[in-house]
Amino acid sequence: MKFEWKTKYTWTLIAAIVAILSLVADFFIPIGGSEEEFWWSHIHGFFAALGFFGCIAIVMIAKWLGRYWLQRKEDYYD
Amino acid sequence: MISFPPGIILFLGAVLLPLMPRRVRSAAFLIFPAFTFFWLICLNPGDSLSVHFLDYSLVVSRVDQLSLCFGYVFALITFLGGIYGYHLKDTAEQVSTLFYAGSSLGVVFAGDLFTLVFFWEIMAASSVYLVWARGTSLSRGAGLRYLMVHLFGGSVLLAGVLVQLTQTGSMLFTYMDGGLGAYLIMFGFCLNAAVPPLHAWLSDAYPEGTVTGSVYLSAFTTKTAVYALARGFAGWEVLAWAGAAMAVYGVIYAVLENDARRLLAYHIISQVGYMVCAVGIGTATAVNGATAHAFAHILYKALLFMGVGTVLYATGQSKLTNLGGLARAMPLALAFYMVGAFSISGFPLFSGFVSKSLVVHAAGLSHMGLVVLLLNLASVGTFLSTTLKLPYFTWFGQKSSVQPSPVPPGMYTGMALTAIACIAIGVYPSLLYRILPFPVDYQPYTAHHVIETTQLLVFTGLGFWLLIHQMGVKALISLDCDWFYRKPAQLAYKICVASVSKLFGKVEHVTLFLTQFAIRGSANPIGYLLRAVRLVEQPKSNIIEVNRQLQEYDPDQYRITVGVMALIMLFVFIILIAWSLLAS
Repeated sequence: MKFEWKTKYTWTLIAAIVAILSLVADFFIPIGGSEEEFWWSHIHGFFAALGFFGCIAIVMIAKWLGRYWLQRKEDYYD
Repeated sequence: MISFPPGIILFLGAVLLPLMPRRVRSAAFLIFPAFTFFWLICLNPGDSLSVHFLDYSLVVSRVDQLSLCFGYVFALITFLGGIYGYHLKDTAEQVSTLFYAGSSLGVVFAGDLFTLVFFWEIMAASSVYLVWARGTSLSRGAGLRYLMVHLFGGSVLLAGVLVQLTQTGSMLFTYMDGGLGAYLIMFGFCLNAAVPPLHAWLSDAYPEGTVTGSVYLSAFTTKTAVYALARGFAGWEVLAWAGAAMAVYGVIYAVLENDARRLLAYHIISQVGYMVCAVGIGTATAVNGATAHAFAHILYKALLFMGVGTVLYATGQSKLTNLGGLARAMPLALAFYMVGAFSISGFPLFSGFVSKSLVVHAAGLSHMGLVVLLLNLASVGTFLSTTLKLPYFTWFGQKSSVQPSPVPPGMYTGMALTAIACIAIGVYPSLLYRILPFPVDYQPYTAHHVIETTQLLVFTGLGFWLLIHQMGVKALISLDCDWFYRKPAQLAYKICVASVSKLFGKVEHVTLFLTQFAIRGSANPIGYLLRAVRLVEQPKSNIIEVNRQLQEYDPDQYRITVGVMALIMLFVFIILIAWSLLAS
């Protein structure tokens, strides 16, 4: 049990460090000059926001659709 | 150079395999895809073989870089799947696998539409056995629906081919630029590519296949359709939007899904969405992207199905609500599954990173901002379901009571080799890039791209961590487009089968009653007559009594006595004698 907790803690720490590093590194990368430029190309941390809010949106939309429309009991087609 | 269709080797294998001794069949199975792979390496773009059939010239084999790229990966996955399924004792399953793989190769090397339809139909017929071989009532139903849908799709495709032939006079399978024939052909291709709303057969049937069968199912049908779309419909913008929508559609359903293999099936729809989208964009980079992603996808999706299949093999369970806490018992399956999961999510150093980014790059070059956003959103959902949710509820989370049984070493070997292929492509993208149909001028490992991807994935992980209580799955199913033929099928059954059967029953009942009446009546006409007389004479309350008397039928009751009979015979005899005496 102690080992599992320690593993969980280590992974969380690694994820946090990577998250912070990726956000910080974003400021040091020159933007522009690429052939594919969009409105978000100049927003720092845009992909972090897309990941975070996209994840929440997907879960919420799916759960809402499931609850009010899509989900049925397993013997629905029997 | 003349080239025979490479699928022939696998067909030959399917015929020879049952003739071999049982104990060498699994080993012999591997020879055919291996030989096919080496043959493909020897082929050169431009090789072909034409035969005359009736008034037509059929190009049964046409080799170019697009078909070669699909051919390599088909042969490779047949080989890797053969190692994974080395323990298999079901020869019929092995034979149908070889037919399935051979016909898929037949499709990607078909130079004309008739040859394509021919192999297309063999694909449908041979693959359905991989679902039926599971032997459950669910797999029987799902397999039958799968077959019906594909036969319908194949018929539409054939109709399209005939219309195309009458309109253009050519049967060559090349780029199509509109007309009724082209639309019908595209319908047939889109059905096999599982483009919603024609996709429900996939999420319905693939999870019901056998442990090894689903590995092959995930590889061939949708990817031959991607090839066919890339060949015939590259640059049709409608496909770009359909593909982007499809990529998101799959991930939404995957969030709700409880069955691990159905969750992966929804991610096939999502990942094929990237390929269909790239085909719709249609530039050289995009077609490269579609091909590269198909190549990488076949490997990592097979690996994911192998990982979950191993759990199914060992525990008999594939529903997340029945699994959990298997990390200690099945660490290898977890490790190999995670390689597949990191690949499908597009982690740097894994295969999905170098193929998926080529598709997104192509969309970016074509200035399709919304498509780029939708594809990135689909990446978020993919990471969420396949890399976080599925492993969490299978190998971690609440420990379930299931006790895994030992797994054959071949399964782990197959997974290990597939995992190596996924990592090799991720680390050396040029391995994949140099076999693509067009020259590649793209570098996936730029600081910018790596940081973007890292942000996207790590912050998705944060979202998952916050919503972990929401992510808990329930033992429910989700309605999908198969509702449109499964529910009406029940109604049609009631109207066309149940009610007709009921009517038959009624008619049979009445007929039997009348027959019985006739039998009794003719056996005892006087009794029935008497009954009628007595019923008139006696009050109605005595009907039962009259019936009872009738039922106690005594054959001697109304029979004339032997004496009377002897008298009649004597009388007839006397008349005959008198008649003969008078006549003489």
